[in-house]
Amino acid sequence: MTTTSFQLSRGKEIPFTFRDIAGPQQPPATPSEWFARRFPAEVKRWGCPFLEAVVEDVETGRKLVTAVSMNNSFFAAALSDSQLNHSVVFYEPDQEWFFLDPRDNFYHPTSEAKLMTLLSALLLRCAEEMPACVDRISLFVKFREDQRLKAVVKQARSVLAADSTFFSINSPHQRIEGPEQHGRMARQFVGRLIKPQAGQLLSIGDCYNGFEGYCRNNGVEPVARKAFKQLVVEIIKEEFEVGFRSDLKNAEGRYLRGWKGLTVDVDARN
Amino acid sequence: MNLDGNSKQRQREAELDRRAKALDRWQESEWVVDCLRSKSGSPLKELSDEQIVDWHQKVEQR
Repeated sequence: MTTTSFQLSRGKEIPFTFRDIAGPQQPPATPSEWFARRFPAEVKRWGCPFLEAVVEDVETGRKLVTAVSMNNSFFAAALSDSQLNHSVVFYEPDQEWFFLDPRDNFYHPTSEAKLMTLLSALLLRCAEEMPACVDRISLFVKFREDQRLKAVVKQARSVLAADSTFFSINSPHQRIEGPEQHGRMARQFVGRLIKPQAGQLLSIGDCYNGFEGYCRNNGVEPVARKAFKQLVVEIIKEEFEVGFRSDLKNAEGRYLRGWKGLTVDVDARN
Repeated sequence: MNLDGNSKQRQREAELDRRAKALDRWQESEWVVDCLRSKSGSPLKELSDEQIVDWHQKVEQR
């Protein structure tokens, strides 16, 4: 004769940081425990990883633990492993996935198929490390089916959502390629090479030439001149409180468009 | 071994232990990131042991 009960286990909360000094631990006895040890912050926030059924043989006292249903929110959050300082985001403006690569600290694009692969691999590792009293078939087969993995990744679109400010030019997060990269370059250029100098006129053409050189020195393809003007006018206004003008007249009496009282420090470029 | 020698030995062991933990954790991190990376024509930037230990310190400080 057997009895069946259900459990929502969060495991024992030992932060990853203290894992090594908390003394020897028993290996995780259930799938929820396995994931809770690996993702304590995500368990704390999103709840236990699985609903588990425990079938106990009344005569022998033997138990069989089976993961019955997965907590999609927890698994969605676990795709961005905070214990390893990883970060995965769904960048809503472009409807695209990015992960932070610790080798260069830039966000790189990734895909839903790759996120499904990661989740599938985690479930497989959990199955491999479970003791005999855990039903490993459900972990290996049922929870690794495409439709279940897809459901988690779909949920992750909201759990790991990042808005347009995430990669903005003032944000600490940088992706490897993106339109904001030009904004960052323009800001750097203005900060490092544009200097106030009384009586000087800086034409948009000279400013762009300086920017082009600055980009090339830094191995970046410069943005087109028209787009540059849109970027730089705002930045210069912020930085020097000097507005863009179309009525400037140079020493030869020629009209030019640009700024009064600014110059490009060409020496600082090299 | 005198007191100074013992202390140096302990420091060395602690340093080796720290390094081993950092490399273990880095391998775990690489396992995850490898699932998300696309293959590239250019080789991956290799990190030195010191850089990995620095990375690990930052992770632990979080």
